[in-house]
Amino acid sequence: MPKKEKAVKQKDTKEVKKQKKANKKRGGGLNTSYLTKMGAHNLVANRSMSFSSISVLSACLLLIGMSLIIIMNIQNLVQDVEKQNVIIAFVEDGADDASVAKVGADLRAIPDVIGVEFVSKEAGYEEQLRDFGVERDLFDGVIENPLPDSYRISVSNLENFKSTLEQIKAIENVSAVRESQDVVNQITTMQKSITGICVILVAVLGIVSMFIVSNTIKITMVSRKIDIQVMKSVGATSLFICWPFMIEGLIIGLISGLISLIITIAVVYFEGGAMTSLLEMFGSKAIALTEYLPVLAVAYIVSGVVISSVGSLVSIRKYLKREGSEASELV
Amino acid sequence: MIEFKNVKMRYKTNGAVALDDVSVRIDDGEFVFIVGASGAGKSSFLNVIMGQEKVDAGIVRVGPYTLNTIKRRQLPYLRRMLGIVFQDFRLIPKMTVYDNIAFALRVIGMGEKKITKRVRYVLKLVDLSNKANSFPHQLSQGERQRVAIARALINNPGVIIADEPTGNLDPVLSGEIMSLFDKINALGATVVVVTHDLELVHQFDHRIVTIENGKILSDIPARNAGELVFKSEPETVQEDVSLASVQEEDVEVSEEEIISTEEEETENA
Repeated sequence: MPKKEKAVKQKDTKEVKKQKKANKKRGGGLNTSYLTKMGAHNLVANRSMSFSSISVLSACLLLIGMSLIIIMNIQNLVQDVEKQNVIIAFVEDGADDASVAKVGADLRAIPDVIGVEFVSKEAGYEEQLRDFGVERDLFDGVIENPLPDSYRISVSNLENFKSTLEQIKAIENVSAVRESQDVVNQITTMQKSITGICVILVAVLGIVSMFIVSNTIKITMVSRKIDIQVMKSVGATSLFICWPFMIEGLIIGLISGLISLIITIAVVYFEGGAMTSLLEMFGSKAIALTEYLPVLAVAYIVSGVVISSVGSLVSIRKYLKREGSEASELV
Repeated sequence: MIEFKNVKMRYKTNGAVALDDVSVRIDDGEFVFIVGASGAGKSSFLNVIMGQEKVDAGIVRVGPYTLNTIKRRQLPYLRRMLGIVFQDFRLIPKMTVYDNIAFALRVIGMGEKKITKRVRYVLKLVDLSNKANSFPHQLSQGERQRVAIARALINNPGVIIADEPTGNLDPVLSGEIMSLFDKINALGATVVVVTHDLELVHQFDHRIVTIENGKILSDIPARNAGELVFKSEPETVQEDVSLASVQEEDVEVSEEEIISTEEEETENA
């Protein structure tokens, strides 16, 4: 009995192949230009829904983009501060050359230390006087050089600043350390909280906009229930049914991305001054718009398209899986 | 060929029996009426053929496909072999008559040139050439049903399945629609018409399968099998003449199809 079944099955596949071939000869593949046109047509036909989708998605993208710009600028600020942030470790006055060299080696061994520069007693004094704008000759013989030998240390990773500092202090023959921990603390706290808020914002907005686009497409699908049933009954493949909706989602994403991009450029151009002055307070400056414009444009368009395509796919999938009576239950 | 072998099926919604040990075979070129009261299982019978519902037991074959094991992605190809006519017409309101019919061909990816040719032919067949640019709401019920039939025919399917095609029509229009199905059957298509209108059924001489409570109650063959009896008036004969002329016009398409079939056969041999 099973043998017979198998034979029937084999015959089936051969016949099915034949049928498929006949279908192909009759028609050919997917009439993509027609389908694309249909998607664009749907977009216009349901303009109020399309409009609301585009507005919501643009607003979300805009907030996402602004968050990213803020994150980027803060990252930049932190890097600037890191660069500026030099810890100066003074070596015990009167330590011999070997001890001074050992302090240098010990400093280099600390993981977060990225640069160690030796400043001799003399060089330090010269520099200090120069900073004050005083000629050395004026003090010669009057005051003796009060500075000990020192090391200028730059550190990465400001989050670990405190422990790095402790390690530096613990090194033998280090008499004193000069640093600006308060500023560092403030900046790292700010960076953490702003980045956290932005990441949450981006995630929530992404999901919300996906949900809204998905709902829009779902509503347009309900209104096109008959079309879909007819398509199925005349033998449309799933791809055929999906295509116009995907195109619709794609165009919505594309338009939203472009709108957000234009608004962002306008905002940064006209209102960017506020951020610049804020950043200048910390001795940093805003990243120029031109530097991240291409990245931003790509990010906007890609995320717009991805969000709205995924949104439309989610709602189409549900429809495609159902057949017959199940399909009508949906509405 | 459509074949049901000891098919059993329950409704998914309430578990009641929809089809109970149904065995029936419809050969190519037949005209069959499926009759029964509403809820007797007629619609389930059609839904199974269209691949919309799966059976719980038994074997169902439609053409080359065994529907028990058919894959989801094969369903579109099964449906391309079937021309389906619904009681509520299911025309797309925003499309003209022409586009509604052409739609079925666009779905399978046919080129626009071929589409124009075929739509014109089918519109002549259902006598609606002058309504090509009308929208469904501008048509009478009978005309809408003819558009629906034209759409079912357009893809040259071997089987036409009509679910209560006259349910929304008055007796005169119903008779006209049935004559149209007769004409289609005479052109070689298998026609399966589901209806509860016994009076209408008895005006024609075709096989009648009666379903009741999910079982086949009777299966009466046509008295004059193979011979077509038009009950309608001379009008119909005239229509037949026009049909013949349309066919001549369409010779090119038919030839192409014959050639492609021959090619396939040689390839398969």
